Amino acid sequence: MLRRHKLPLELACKALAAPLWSEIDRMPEQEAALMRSVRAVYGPAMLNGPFAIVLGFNGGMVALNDRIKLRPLVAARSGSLVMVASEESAIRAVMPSPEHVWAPKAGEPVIARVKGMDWPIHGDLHLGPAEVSCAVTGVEPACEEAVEVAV
Amino acid sequence: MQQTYVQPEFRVKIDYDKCHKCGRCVQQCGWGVYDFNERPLPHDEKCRACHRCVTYCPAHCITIEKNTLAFRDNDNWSADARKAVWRQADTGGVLLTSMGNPRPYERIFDKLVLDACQVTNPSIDPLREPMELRTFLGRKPDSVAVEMDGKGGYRLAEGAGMKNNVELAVPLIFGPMSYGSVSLNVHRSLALAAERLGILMNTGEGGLHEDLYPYQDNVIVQVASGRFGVTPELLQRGAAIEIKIGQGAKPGIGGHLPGEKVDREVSATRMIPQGSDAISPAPHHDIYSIEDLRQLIFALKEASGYKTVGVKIAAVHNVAAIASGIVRAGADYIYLDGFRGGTGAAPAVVRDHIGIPVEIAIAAVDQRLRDEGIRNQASIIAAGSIRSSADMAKAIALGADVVAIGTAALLSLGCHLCQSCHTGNCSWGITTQKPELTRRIDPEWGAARLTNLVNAWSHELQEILGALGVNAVESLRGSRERLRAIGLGEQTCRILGVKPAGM
Repeated sequence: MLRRHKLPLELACKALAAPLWSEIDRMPEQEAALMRSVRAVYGPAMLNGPFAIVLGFNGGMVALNDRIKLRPLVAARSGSLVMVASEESAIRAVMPSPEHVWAPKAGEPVIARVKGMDWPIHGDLHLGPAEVSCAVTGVEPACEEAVEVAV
Repeated sequence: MQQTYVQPEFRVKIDYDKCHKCGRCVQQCGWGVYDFNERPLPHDEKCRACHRCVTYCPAHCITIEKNTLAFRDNDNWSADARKAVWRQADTGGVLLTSMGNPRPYERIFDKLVLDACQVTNPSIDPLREPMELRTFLGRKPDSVAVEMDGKGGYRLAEGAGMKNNVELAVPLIFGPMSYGSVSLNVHRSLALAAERLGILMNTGEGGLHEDLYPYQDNVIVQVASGRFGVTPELLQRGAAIEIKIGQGAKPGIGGHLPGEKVDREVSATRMIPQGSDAISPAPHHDIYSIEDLRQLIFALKEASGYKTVGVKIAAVHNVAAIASGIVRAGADYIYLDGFRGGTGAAPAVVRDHIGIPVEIAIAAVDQRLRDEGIRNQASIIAAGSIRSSADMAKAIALGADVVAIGTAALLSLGCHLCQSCHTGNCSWGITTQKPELTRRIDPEWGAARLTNLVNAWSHELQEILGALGVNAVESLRGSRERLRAIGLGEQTCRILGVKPAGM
């Protein structure tokens, strides 16, 4: 979906954990049209059953819950640090007083991006091993700057 | 005249001690079984076992029994085979019949079982959790092209996204049954029910009566080889257009509506003279290749403002290759009609011996289209004896997007499968144009019964999905891993893409 169909990460997550039709029907028309097409075209990619998955990549991290939230997922953020876990207590064991703690809604992806780094599938993944490690070493100073959090 | 050797199939028994002598049986029977002389006197040879008189007898004093006349045992020359020869020797004609193939071929649906979740992946309770059945009928784009909307989100790129699909609340539609073969009140019932259920009815090849114009957004209009009632206006009215190439009950042959059923209204809708036989040719005389079909598909699209255009074919031996050609010709859906599909009239020899089961056809077509990477270009509608929600679930698991029901819909309106639609004497008022019979169906009552049936099947499909641990019907589509076969041969299992139970 990302590489061949050039779908943005957010929409690929929506295809895997699709919003309910009843939710789509209540969306503004432009968004509803988009989600109707995403569901109809990528319906076979929809994941059923309980899951909470975390996917790390060179440019950031995605956490995704199943579409009716059968598994727990909690996210927290302090400055440029984003954490996800199945329980808030696990987060607080590592980071006792985060600035924000929230429970993402079913199927709402938590996407943390390292500022200045694009989604790697279109770029970094095609770099040679040496270039990839260069790219990774570039993460830390960038992290100090800021993290975009899309919920 | 010489006596026929074919004895009555049924015995009409009346308990005269209980009989009110009211004559209602005489009035109800469309076959003229009863004479009345102080009490009803049945002529067994006319009885079709349609149970109309049994149902409406106020004294419950009528029963129909099989004529158990003994024949000398012979597995090879069954009683039916002997009777067929006698009938043909009597008449010299093709034996006509109606409804679906009744012969004891293997019923594959009955040899497939569905999966359920236990422990590791929880089942879902449809009474407590959402369970989605919405389905879109038509061509899907290869991908969804998007662009930034300037507000941090995305929107469909110019001209991208799904186009001209028909939204169905349930993956089930009413199959094509033409006005002419069935009565206008049946069409009204189907249209009303389709509108209330958010699904579609199909006009069949007889055009759309003007009384149904208010329901046009829930109607598939059919273009068959006879082109009855096909006008630019008809194409504009339908929610989708269907080119009928073949029918499961009679692959390779056309249709024949006897002149007795062509009254004034049917004649106006079909645009043929009153009382004349409506004979649709076996082939479309402008389609002799996939290229010709493509021309017709695009002509219909041009004429209708690019509506969904589907092609209905009978399931036959090379169905996968044929379906591939149809999709490449530009069809937005393929309607596969299995050899058990019903009909209003067909030669018995064709109905009983031509075509293949729809289960095989669904699996073969779905697999072929996937292998060729064009499965997204067309929806698959499966029909040809979908008898229950279980059949519907199994058909979807084998690869169908939507199923269509014809016989089941008529059963809900009172049909008793007496296989005599072609006579035009239907006592239930379904497959007749005689006003005294057609008025037996009130469209409101019919629509309520059809709505009940589809709602019941929807609830059952939701229960099945819940047991499977999925909460949207698209997750069942083509999910053959959730099926297992019991007692099917290895080769059939391979074609179906289904493992035997225990594997």
